[in-house]
Amino acid sequence: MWCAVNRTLRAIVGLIVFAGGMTAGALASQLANPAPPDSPWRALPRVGQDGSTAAVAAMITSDDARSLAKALDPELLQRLASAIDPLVEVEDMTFTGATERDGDILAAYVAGGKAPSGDRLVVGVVFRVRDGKIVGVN
Amino acid sequence: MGMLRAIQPWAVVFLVAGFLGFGISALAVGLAEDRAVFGQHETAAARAYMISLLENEPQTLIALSPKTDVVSRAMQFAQAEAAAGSITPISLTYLGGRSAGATQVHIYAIELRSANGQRQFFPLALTFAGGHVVRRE
Repeated sequence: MWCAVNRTLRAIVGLIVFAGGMTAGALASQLANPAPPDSPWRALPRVGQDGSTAAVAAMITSDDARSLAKALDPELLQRLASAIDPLVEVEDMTFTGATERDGDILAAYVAGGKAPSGDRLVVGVVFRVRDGKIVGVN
Repeated sequence: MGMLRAIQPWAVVFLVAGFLGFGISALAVGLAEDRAVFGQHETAAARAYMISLLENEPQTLIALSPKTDVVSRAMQFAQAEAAAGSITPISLTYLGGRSAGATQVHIYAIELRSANGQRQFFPLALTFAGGHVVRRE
């Protein structure tokens, strides 16, 4: 009887020690990535995804060159080509955030795809939107 | 001595669980960021780079850039000295990012006033690989 109680107790203590170790390890892992230092400047409020940039992102991921040519003028297309360089195949475009200042919206996306070498890469693409129209690409 | 012997198995269990917890947590965060489950968190290195860039402080920029020769680094110091006080940052906004394998992209919106008083609002994307900024545009 006493032996069975002792075994149960040991198992419970073992579980508690194991859970404690797991928690300590997870905490240590988070501490290994320190928080960013405080910014000396303010941050602007975030805004939602604009319809015009969402449409262009969809055209890029669906490989729809014809619609893209209609949506953006040649100069913007040239800038978009530079922005997604060196990707030759864009598999996805994730909207990461946008902010607005005096009517100018900067909408950020990260494009993921393949480079000519076949390596998977991610690159940042930022659209500048004014009055619901894309006026710049970085 | 007897006490030490008694807690030794528990210490081993605690250590093994600790390593497991560390590994699982790091893996889970990495996978979540890779698949953009919660988006990429701003990292300390990315923020430090942006602050140094806007404060025109080349030491951190050099530390976070791929290793270059002494002349290139001297040129960076000279450029920083020449540009001192030419811009006044107004706001710095993190717009998010994403990682794929060892590569991370962090995107910022910067608002500043130039020396001639003109206000500028523009984005900057940093690409990190191996802890260094390998692309800035």
